[in-house]
Amino acid sequence: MTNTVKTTSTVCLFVFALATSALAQSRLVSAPAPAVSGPAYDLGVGYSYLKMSVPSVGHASLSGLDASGTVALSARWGATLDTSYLRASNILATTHQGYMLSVHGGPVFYPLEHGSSRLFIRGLAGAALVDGAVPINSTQYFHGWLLRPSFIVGGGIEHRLSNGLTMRVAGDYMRSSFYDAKTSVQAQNNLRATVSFVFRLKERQHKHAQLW
Amino acid sequence: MRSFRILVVLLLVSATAAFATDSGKLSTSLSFDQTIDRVVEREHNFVARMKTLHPLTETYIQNLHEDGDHNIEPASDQYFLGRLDLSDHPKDSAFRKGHAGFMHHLFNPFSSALSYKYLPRGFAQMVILDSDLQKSNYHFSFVRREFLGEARCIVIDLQPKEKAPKGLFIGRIWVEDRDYNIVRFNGTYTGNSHYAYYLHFDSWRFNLQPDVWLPSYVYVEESGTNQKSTLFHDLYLKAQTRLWAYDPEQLSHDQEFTQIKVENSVDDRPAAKDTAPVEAERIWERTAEDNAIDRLQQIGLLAPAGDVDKILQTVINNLIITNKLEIEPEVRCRVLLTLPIESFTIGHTIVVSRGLLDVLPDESSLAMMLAHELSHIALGHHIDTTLAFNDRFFFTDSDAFQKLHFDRSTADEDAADKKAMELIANSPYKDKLTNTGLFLKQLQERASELPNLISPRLGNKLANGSTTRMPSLFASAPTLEKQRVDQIAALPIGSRIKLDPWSNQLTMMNANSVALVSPSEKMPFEVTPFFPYLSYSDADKKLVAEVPSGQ
Repeated sequence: MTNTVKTTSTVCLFVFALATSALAQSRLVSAPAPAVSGPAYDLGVGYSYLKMSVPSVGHASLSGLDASGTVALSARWGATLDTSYLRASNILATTHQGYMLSVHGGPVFYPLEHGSSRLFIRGLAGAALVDGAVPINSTQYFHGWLLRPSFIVGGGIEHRLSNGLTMRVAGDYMRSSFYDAKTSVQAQNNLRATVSFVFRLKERQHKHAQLW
Repeated sequence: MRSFRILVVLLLVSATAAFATDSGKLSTSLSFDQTIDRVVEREHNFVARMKTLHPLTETYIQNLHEDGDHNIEPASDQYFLGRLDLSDHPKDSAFRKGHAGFMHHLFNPFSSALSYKYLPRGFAQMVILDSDLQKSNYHFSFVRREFLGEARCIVIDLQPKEKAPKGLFIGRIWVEDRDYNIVRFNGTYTGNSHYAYYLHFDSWRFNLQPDVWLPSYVYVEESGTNQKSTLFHDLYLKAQTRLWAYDPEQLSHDQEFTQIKVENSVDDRPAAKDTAPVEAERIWERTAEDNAIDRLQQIGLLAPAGDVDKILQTVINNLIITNKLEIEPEVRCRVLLTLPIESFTIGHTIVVSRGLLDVLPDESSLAMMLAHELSHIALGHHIDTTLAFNDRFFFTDSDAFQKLHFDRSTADEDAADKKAMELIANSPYKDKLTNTGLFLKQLQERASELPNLISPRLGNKLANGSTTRMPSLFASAPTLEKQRVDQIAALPIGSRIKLDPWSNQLTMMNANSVALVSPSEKMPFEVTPFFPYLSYSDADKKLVAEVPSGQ
């Protein structure tokens, strides 16, 4: 638990430092005002790895598919809907398989854009359905599922590979809920890493003739 | 043979001398590198000057679509008017017709999530090549020499270097070779973001004052893919930006104060000194009228009295004389400098917008518009006399469209339509009304696609999707035939009137009449590119003339 908090704090501090630096830079650069903005939609599909805490017992590793959709609301802000289905075939050596199905939505902030890359920070709220097992002793465990509100705080980087195709790497802290060994509902502090390919549905290509 | 050689040498010498004289005071002895240095220096001066100037900036955008027969027509439009502010902390100075409501403020940030959102500042930005032009950021490449009007120009291609920052200009510049001012640039800015885009533009500057070239016209065009799905369609538009009201003297009366010279303050007229009630009422109405006109002119929305007014006055006189109208005080005509198509009366002053004058196909159509306004005057439709109180005009310029209203009630409009038909029937224009009806038909046909062009800012609407002004003329007009090249119902925008961006004076364009070769060239109410004839200001011409030959 202490490690999780430590890692989360480090990630948050890193992202904050990047954002501050980016905002400071954006004041120095006086690029011409654009004449047209929006709309920009994207759909992303990728692979997620989740280190899920099982209250009072330990951690389980889940992995699976992540899908998201984002709409740009301004040059720096967007709204995103993120859903993932992650599973593990053996939760904490119980031989019971587990999964997490989550749906989250919320704002995305883009503090820095440089060349073909940009950073993003997001805070999403939604719900997570956790199906898992908790060992009671070395031979017994119980299993069950729980649907509870959940939230995600995180960020990452996007790098444009070509017009219309972008690669996104994200790291998130996810708060969800599940039972502990005493069958009482406890909060879970999870860390999630996602690598996805993002397809831009409505992006204007910049066309100008090369002079040489 | 010898005499032939001497003749050739003499010819060569005289030709060289003539070329040197033609080059003006600064002959072209500068190297290309030195020329670029001059250009950069002049551009820095230009940007510094522009930060102190606040001209009116009008942008009109037409979104286009192409049908199955490859006919390209406007699908929708947008209009912005504001005062340019290129300072580091610009204020919002957009002229709006109404106040934006709560819901607008609530949802405005999300509007561009569903469709492209045009940003007025981005269009106004296109008057600046680079706010900090640095030689080290660009590759400069000489192309050729070329005349733009009477300005002999050096044509240079600019491309940002690979490691240069984003947002630099890429394209071609035209530099007049007398003082090395950029007079035209054509291209775009580099570095679109994921969300915001730069457009391609052709920006023109005029020599408005001695040695001062200022932005006057910008033409914007984008023609991307035209897929039918709204999710995937690309920008497809044409737009014009015009700038005027540069002269700061037009915006204040300080200059006039210094020019007042009162010789004698005693009124020694022999006539009666008292004012009769009827006369007082007329003076009161005229005061309201003059106040409104004065304020509109001060803002830069109304052209000063000039040549175009005289043309309008001639048509009005034709109508007044042939109808034996007696109107006191006399009817005056003025031109509103904005594009939206409208006409209205302020007391006994008829105001016609530049946009309306531009698109009218002939004098009879103009007469029809003026007859409608003259009818308001003849029928005694009064001005709002509260405008005689000067405190009514204590508002910021950008609130002009909200504070001033010269629109009439539907009943007054109907009465004016009826009276106008009577006036036209007695006038020399009575047998030439075919094009007038066609103009109204064309106006109605485009009303739903071009609401911003057809929406008045101060007066009444000429047409909407179901009805037009003077419906009887509309009904009697022949069918609109798009494929007939000889049937011109309305002209493209900018067809008639030329505006001096410094003084706001209007003149009629002096363009050659061009025979149309295809129906697509009719372009009624449509945006077209600019190709102005650049000339040096009179003072600059004099300067050149005074340079002794041989220097």
